[in-house]
Parts: sequence; structure tokens; C-alpha cells
Amino acid sequence: MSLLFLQDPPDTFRYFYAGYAVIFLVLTFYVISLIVRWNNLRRELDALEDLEKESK
Amino acid sequence: MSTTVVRNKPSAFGSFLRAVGAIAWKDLAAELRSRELLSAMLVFALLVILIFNFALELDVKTRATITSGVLWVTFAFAGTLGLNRSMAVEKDRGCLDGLLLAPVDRSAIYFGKVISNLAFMLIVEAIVLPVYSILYNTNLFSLGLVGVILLGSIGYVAVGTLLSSMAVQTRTRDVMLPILLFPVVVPVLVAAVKASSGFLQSIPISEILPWLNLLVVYDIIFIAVAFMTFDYVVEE
Amino acid sequence: MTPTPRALRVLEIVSLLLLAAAIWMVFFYAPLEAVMGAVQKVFYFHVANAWVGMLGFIAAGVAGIVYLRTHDLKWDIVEVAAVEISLVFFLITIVTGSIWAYPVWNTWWTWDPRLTTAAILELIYVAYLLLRQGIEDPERRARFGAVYTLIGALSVPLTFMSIRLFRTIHPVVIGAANPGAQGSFDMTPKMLQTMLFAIAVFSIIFITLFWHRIRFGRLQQTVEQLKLKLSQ
Repeated sequence: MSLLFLQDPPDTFRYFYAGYAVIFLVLTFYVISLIVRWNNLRRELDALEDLEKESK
Repeated sequence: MSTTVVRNKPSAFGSFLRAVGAIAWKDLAAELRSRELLSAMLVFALLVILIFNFALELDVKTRATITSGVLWVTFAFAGTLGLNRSMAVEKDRGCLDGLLLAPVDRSAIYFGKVISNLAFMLIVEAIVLPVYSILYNTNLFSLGLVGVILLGSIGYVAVGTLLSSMAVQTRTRDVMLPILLFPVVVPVLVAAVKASSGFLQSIPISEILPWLNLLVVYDIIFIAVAFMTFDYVVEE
Repeated sequence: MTPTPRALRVLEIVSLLLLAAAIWMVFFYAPLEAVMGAVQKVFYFHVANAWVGMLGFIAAGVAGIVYLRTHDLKWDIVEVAAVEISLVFFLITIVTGSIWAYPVWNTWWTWDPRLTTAAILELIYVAYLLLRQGIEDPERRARFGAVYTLIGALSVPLTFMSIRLFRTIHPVVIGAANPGAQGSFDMTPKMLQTMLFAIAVFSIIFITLFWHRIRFGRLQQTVEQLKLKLSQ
């Protein structure tokens, strides 16, 4: 079985971790941006609805 | 036997062609008089070539491989200038609104603009080629090259006219066109550069053919799509 | 705005759990590859993200065409959501592709057709978002967005073909003989399972995020309409 491995596989763990770090960072960043944008918009909607009530 | 005179109904296609011609001629005639657009495009193109001369220090050998790239970058930038100005003038003078009110098929406006934009681009290219030949002492006169320039310009202007109609209606106007146009026109630029360089280096036609095919396919697809969607872009 | 539907909440939890499972598989189930070492494992999520990016791309194209035919603004909301999400997934694809490329081919970027086309697609997406930003009228914004989506979507396959043609005629100077084959490694059954599972997981993540982004788009529409009403 070890004949298939002429040598040990190269140590590329750094890049492996970096790759997954990027995946999580980007996904997390996007989800957070959605949450932040949603909250901002919600606040804006509430303010506008108050304005609407006042103008009636 | 009836002696009534039967008037020929004007064929729809005939009036379509006449509308296209009228719109194209309007721009060409205006340009013949003022020559604003052409001089701007031409000066710009020559300046780009000048900058390339200093930016890329080339010996004769390297230049041969790079010529088609430099030419097409120049054409792309000058083309953007032309497309922008052509549409901006249309909008600013209210011509676009006037045209839209006319009982003319919207796609006639599209084709008319494409023809005039194409004419301007070809005129600039026709002047740039000999100038480049002289400045760099290379012979650029090849029928194949002319064909490639024609095919490439058609594709570029077909998409460019549609996109400039959109760009001119946004807040950022002029800046918007290259941002919209360049990513979408990559196949034309890649194919045109490779085909041009093929003809300039006298590569066997069989190797250039795939690039020419790509150009033709692109041109057909995008002329069709652009003229079908032009309506949506100019409706009020 | 209605509170988050129960189904969506469930999807969120399922997505997180499945993602955890996929990560476990990548870290512990999938074997270490002989030639490239650990970095090969980046491939599982790289492919999954590319696949899901494609889903978004197709969704955007379809939504655009449907909008032009129906003029129903809800398709415009779907279209923007699809573009935004596809942009995120392709960004991950490109960056992971780059990270994979470095130890394997000693270069951060390979001008291979897939990676290059993905990069150009990102530029088209950004151009799309910039275009929308420059238009106030929601109906015109939707129309222009749909037309540009159509033009962009059609250009992408042609771009891919042109670059691939470019590459067969001018073989890549950099490294491997066949970079297009995902680094040419043989996939054992465990690797295949991991990859397929990752693709399935990210498809579910895609649906979750897509749904959320569409809800956000609807909220935006509500706010915009209210602003318009109040300003009259």
C-alpha cells in the first residue's frame, strides 16, 4: 500500500486553513451585512410609518 | 375591367428601411457639418497610441506581437467616447424624445443609431491604421485585417449602442458605459485581437477561422438581442 | 413586514447543521491527497460554491426574462437577490481557487477559462449593481436591470469559449499540464461523497440565503413605495 506513496504528501495545511477561513469570513460577512441592512431598513420603515400616521 | 388606379401600399419594410436611413443620415449629416465627434475620437485615439509608445518600450520584434492589442485597446476606448457623445447629444437636444414620438418602430431607431455609430468608429479606424503604419513603420494593409476590424466594430457598436442608451439615462452617465460595456464585450476583443494578429503575422487561415466564427456568432446573437430589447430601454 | 416564516427558520437551522456536517467530512472523513496534501480539500467547498454561484446566475437570467414579459416587480426583487448571492458565492469560488492554485502551481492566479470567466462575471455583477444604483425610478431600474442581465448572461458563455480557445492555441506557461481538470487528481469514493455532500449542503444554504435576500428586497420595496407616497 505504501508503494503508492513515493513520498509523504507536502505540508499544505496552511493553505487549507486559509481557504476555509476565507469561506467562513465571506459568508459570515454577508450574513451580517444582511442583518445590519435589514435592521436599518426596519428602523426607516418605522419612522416612515410614524410620519404617515402624523400626516393623516 | 376596372380603371381605378390602385395605389401601392407602402411596404412596412420599406418604410422601416427609410426610417433607419433617415435616423442614420441625421447623425452623419450633422457630423459632416460640425465634425465635433470625429475630431474628438480621432485626437483621443492618436493620443492613446502616443501613450502606448511611451508606456510599452518595444523593439521591432515585440511590437509585431503587440500591435493588434494596442490597436484594439485604442479602438475600444475611442469607441466608448463616440458612443457616449452620440447618445448624450441625442438626449440633451431632446432628439430622443422626438424620435420616440414619431410613428416609427423603435428598432428603426436602434439600427439607425448603430449605423451612424459604426460609421464614426470605422472612419476613426480607417485613419488610425495608416497613422500607426507610418509611426511604427509596419505594414498594416491586409484585407483580412480590414474584415476583422469590420466584424469586431459591428459587435462592439451593436452592444454599445444599447448600453449607451441605458447609461445616458443614469445619474453617472458617461462613466457608466465602459463599466457596463467592457466585461460584456470581452469575446469580441479577444477574438478580434487574435484574428488581427493572425492576419498581420500571416498565420494560415485555418487557424484564424475559429476566431472569425466567434466574431460572427457574437455579432449575430447580440444584434438580435439588442434590437429586441431596445424597446424596453427607451420606453418612457 | 411579516415575521420570519417558520419554514425559513427551520431552513436556517438545517443549513447550519448540514454545514457543520460538511466541515466534519472535509476535515476528518475525506482522505489526504497524495500529490497536493491538505490544500486539495479546499476543492470540496470551492466546487460547491461554484455550483451554487451558477444556480444564482441562471436564476438571475430567468428572473430577468420573466420580468420583461410580465412587468411584475416581484421578479425584479428575485433578480437582484440572485445576482447579489451569486456574486458572494463566486467571490468565494475565485478566492479559494486562488488559494488552491498557489501551493499547487506556484502562482496566485491562473488565467484559465473558468477562473477568468468567473472574474469577468463578478465585474458584470458589480456593473449591474452600479447601474441600479444610478436609477431612481423603480420601474426603469427593473427594466434596465433585466436587459443588462440578459446581455451579461449571454456574453458569459461566449467569453468562456473565447478564453478557452485562446488557451488551447497558447498553452499555459504556468505549471501544470492540465489545470482545467481541477488539478488532475483521482477521486476516491470518499472524496466523491464529500464533494457531492458539500454541493448538496451549499444548495440548501443557497436557498436559505436567497429566501432571506428576497424578503429583504420586499422590505426595500415597501419602504420605497411608502417614501414615494409620503412625498406626494
